[in-house]
Amino acid sequence: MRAGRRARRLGFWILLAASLAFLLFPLVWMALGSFKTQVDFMAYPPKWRFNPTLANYEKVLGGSDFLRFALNSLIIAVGSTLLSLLVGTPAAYGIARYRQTRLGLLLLSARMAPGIAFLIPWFILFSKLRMIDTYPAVMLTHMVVVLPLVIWVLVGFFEEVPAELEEAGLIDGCSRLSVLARIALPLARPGLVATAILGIISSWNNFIFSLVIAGNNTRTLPVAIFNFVSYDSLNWGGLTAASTVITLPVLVMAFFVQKHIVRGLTLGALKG
Amino acid sequence: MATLTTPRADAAARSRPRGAAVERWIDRHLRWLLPAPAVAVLLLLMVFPLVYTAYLSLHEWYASSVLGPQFVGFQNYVQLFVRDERFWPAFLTTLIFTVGSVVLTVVLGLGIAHLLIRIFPGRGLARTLVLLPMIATPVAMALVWMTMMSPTIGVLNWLLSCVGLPPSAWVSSPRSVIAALLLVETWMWTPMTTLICLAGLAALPGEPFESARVDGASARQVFWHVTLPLLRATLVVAALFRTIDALKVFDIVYVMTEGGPGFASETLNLYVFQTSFKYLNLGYASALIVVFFTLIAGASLLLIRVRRSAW
Amino acid sequence: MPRSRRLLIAVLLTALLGAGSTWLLADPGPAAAQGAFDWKRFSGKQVRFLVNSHDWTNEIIRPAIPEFEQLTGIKVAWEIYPEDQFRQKLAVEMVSGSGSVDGFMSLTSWDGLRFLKAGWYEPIQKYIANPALTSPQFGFDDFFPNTRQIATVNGQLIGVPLYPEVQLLYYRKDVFKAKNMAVPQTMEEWEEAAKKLTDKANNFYGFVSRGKRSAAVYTLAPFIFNFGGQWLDKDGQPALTSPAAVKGLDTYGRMLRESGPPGVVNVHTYEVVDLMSQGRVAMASDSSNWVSSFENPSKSKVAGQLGYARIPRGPAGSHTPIISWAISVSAQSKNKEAAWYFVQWATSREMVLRQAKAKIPVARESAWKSPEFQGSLPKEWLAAFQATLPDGYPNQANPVVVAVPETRDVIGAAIVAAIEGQPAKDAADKAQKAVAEIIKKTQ
Repeated sequence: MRAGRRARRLGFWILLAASLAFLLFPLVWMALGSFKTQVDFMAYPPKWRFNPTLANYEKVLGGSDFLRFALNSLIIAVGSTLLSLLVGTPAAYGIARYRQTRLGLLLLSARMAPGIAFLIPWFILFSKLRMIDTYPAVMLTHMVVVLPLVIWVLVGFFEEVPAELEEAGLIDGCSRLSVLARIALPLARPGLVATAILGIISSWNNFIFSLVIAGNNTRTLPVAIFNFVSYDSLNWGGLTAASTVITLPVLVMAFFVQKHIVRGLTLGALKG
Repeated sequence: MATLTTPRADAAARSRPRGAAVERWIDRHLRWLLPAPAVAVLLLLMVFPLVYTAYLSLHEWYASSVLGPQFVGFQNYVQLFVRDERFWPAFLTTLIFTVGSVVLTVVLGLGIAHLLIRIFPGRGLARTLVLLPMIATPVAMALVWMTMMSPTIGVLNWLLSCVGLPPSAWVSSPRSVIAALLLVETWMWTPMTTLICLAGLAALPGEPFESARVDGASARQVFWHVTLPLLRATLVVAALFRTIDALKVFDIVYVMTEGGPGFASETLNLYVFQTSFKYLNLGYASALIVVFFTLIAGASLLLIRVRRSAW
Repeated sequence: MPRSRRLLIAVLLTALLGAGSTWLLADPGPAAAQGAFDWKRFSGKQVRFLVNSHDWTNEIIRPAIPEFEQLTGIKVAWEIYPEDQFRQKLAVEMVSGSGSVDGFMSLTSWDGLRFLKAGWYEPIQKYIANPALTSPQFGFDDFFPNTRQIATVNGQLIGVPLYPEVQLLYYRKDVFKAKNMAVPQTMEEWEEAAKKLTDKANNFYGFVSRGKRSAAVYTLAPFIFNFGGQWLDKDGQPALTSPAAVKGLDTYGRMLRESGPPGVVNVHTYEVVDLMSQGRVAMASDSSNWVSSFENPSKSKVAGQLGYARIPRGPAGSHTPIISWAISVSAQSKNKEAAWYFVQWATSREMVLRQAKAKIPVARESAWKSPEFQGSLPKEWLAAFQATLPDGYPNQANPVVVAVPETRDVIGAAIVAAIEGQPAKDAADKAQKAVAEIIKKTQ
């Protein structure tokens, strides 16, 4: 009996290690590769021990363009998330309190539609308004992805706010609006933070909209890295360094709000 | 689920003595005002473009031609279903990819969720680490996978050789490209299904498990006869999200293969993209989009219905 | 006249003379005209160019833009994208008709017909002929006649040609010497040599060329031409099922399959250059443009070891496409003259000479014949290029039709099939049908 239990425990740790190895290996490989020289990278069998170099990072970060693209990504991510929060928070509250399922269906269909379904009309519209390659235009397109996400997740958080507190407020003479502002919002604040982070991450990672709507002034990192590869004739050290630089911010953000991400995603999932 | 429309709350709201007229008006119409901005944004950004696309699908329009769109009725759809040699292969590729992705991620996700539900030292860290593939920027990670999958100097082939397996061509052969893409997709999205299953497992009631233990059921029997049936709804939710996202897959395929070699990995989304922005055949592309969207909506509705019946 | 006044006049005249000659002899910088041409005429305007990623756009023009801005007072946005995305980006912007683009590059073999029919090119003949708009130093006659022909679509001059290219055979002189082999002269010898030089155990391959769907059409072309085939017949219909075309496709696919590196179906021109530069293949056939990369020791391990030859001949001789990118003014531009100023500056004698010094092939005779160009490039390359030119087919990188991307994708799929070992005849049949359909829909 004892041996069986020990074997099961061992089995557990092995499986856990294997799962983590599978999920983390590419990230580790990417980080390792970013410190390799081109020669080392091209070696086969792959080198696990090598002299690390910072040359790749110097090249990637030294070129002023890369930081400019990072700034673009940041501006667009924060902008589209703030806009989505502004518009989405009341909507989420409404769904939570008034059970507006039809709005929920609208959101679900936003999730279902492929991005490409919007791109042609958007492009024509933004061109006519002379808004191509402007921050507002790109932010608006990102909202199609971020807004439904924001509402989805916030509904779950609002539902967690006990209705009794709000009822008490109403009885005390507050308007429904100030109940939202003064009771529900503060209580849902951790949810707002988590939602904001999720929104920023999904905008940061977006590729297809930025590919078509952004231009030289508003180019974001995912599009920039794609350009990087083709020109520089497969500079793999540079590519992995660039990938590391792009993914590091979102990975770090995820660490800080991991608890909330888990709650946010799963709450939205189960109740949606 | 609590609401603010209990009779007590309503009575309280009505009997308020103070408040400006505007504030009272806002309060009364709050249920319409709250979602109004979001609905307006979505209407503008989403619904109108979709309607325009559907309208355009009834026209023939090569964007670079000097003629504007020409009305052709359902001709594009006829062409699509009957004469287009790339549509059905793309459809099939998309289906195979989607089914493969859903099965792999849900199975793996369920398995890893079982591991993470237990209490062990470092669980918080493990749960965070598990998230990372999903959070990392897809385009960047797809390029990293490309370097790992290089047929001559890629580390994946080296790993295969370590366990005595022959090297694979990964994305550079029509025979293995879909499997290679599935590997990347599975890696990237298993964290999502893991999270969903984890939440589902955590919410399961304890009694059925206790009774099973009392009855002397083995672990395997518990899993098949207690866990799975109780988790059905969760699994359907995971499958729903994965199905929608897998049907729409773009970043990975575009970056790693652009639908190649040849057209071996061309999914519907990619075919639509090429038709729109490479060939500039906007009228036909719009018809493809309508069909594509219908496919996704149909699959989603099917899964939602399955979920409703599972409650 | 009193003596003091004569002295005053003399002093004044001397001063004027001095000032005048100083002004005349002063060198205000490169590409500046003397005399009446006003470079600053459009000062304050802004122009935006969308261009393809290439050594020319990245290394020659981009760093020099501040010089232009200082010379003319015109601000320039020079947006560079890799080829595939560049095309998409440009098409999408031009289609919107918003005038957001003032100038662009185009490859006339690929874009020429479609852009012309869409009315996107601003014909520049009238600008060149206008002395108020074109510096007298410009000298359009300095451009090689067949490059001017390449930049002419259906009789209209649509842009200024930039860097003509043909296809060449690149080979490792050291490897051939070590194995005591001669450079192949015929297609049969070529295939033999490729097989002989392949050493899979050591990860070294005899031959590489493009295998990636659309890109490979370009490097397939000489194989079709050398067996006597053409892309289109005299009625403008595809000729892919002719025995010559099928033989070309079959040979190309076989050579890459048997003597090419693994994963060759994903090889674009960048990977061809990389494989050659890293010393992993014995021979490659691709654009002549890459010589500057190959001979750059910081990028290429085999700098100095490469030989350059004509593509081996088939029964119908040795023919490659001749193509050139051109830089044009957009017909939708709101600042056409300012854009033209940039175009003529970027293709001026001085700028093209810089291009020649960087070992990038040039379309100007003066730059081609310059000692810098002749001296800096390998003699063998110059000889091979100049021998290839007369027999080349202008613009024939792919069938010259309106819907080139779609056509290239379809032919490219046939190439991939041939490389993968499927019968070339079947692949050619399929492509033939599809291309005929495309032509019907779009011309």
